[in-house]
Amino acid sequence: MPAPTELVPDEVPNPGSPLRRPDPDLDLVERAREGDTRAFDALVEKYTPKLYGLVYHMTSNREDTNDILQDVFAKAYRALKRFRGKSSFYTWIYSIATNMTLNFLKKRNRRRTMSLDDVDLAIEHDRDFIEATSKSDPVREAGISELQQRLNMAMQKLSVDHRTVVTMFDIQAMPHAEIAKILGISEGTVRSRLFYAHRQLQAFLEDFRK
Amino acid sequence: MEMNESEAARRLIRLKRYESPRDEYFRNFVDEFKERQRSEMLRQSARGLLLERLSMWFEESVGAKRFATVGGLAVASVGAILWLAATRPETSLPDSLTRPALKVERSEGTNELARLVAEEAAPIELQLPARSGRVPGNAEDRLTIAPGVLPAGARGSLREL
Repeated sequence: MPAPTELVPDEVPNPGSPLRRPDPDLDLVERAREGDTRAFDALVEKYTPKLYGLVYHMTSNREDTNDILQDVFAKAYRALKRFRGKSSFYTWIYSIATNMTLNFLKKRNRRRTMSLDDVDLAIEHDRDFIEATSKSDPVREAGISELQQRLNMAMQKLSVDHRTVVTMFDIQAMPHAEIAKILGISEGTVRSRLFYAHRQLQAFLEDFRK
Repeated sequence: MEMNESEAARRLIRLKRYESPRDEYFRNFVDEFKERQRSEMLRQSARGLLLERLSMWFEESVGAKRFATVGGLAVASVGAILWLAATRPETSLPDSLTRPALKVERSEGTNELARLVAEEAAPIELQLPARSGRVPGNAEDRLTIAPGVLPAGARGSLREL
């Protein structure tokens, strides 16, 4: 994993560079580099929901998430002239967000209270939720709010490294290769961290699943 | 069995994706970012403007020729002060001149040498004969020789001395 203090990471070239798809953000990035603030605003608008999810699921605090995210985009804007397009803009800004969040979590007080977002009521139609409530009495009895509390508590019990891969793989559905590229580690390490993180989650949620 | 339990935990964790802020949050976020970015740019441009005005004022009020004269004088003054400080005569003799050339150690083997050196180094007293008012060659200065010690011829020559 890259050093958390280095907030603007080096660009990681795509291994299949000759055949790789062109960066869909290239035009906006070029315009933003030339001083077009509207182009950068478009990039902010495009990536805020995705990056919000990354930071929020790692911090379990929406106020912290907002502050970190503002800093991420401000830093990216200042560092945009150093972006050479060796990796996609998406990978680059995702790396900045990850590093800044890891840095924040290292400094943050462990006892910081959670500040959670609302749960979308669409969860009631989710197959996994329906299955969990049908099979498990505790989940059914707990209700959505308590389920949310328990899941966030379990996430916060994980180490920061494990929480990062669980957030990216399980919650944000990113492939192993992409996670490896963003974190600067091998795919094997990603898989290994996921394996141990899942075992821990299983233990943390043990009484909740039966 | 364990795989299934692990899979069940993963399915529960995946439900976290339903946690999200309200839609207006993202609109407000972009507006907040724009505001912050604009104020930062204004701060930077204000700083740049201040520097630009300061440099213009400097160029106008202190012309280039005048600046060169004043600057040259200042450099010359500082140089002269430094030169004077470096070449000022010493008020006391340097240590190398006041230090004895030969240092004598007070050890047994060198005691004799030390004494000799001390004698050498001691100031030479000018020994003048005491003023007596006597004139050399007077009868009183003659050598008195007992009679019969020298031959008769030698007495006369001794007397001449």
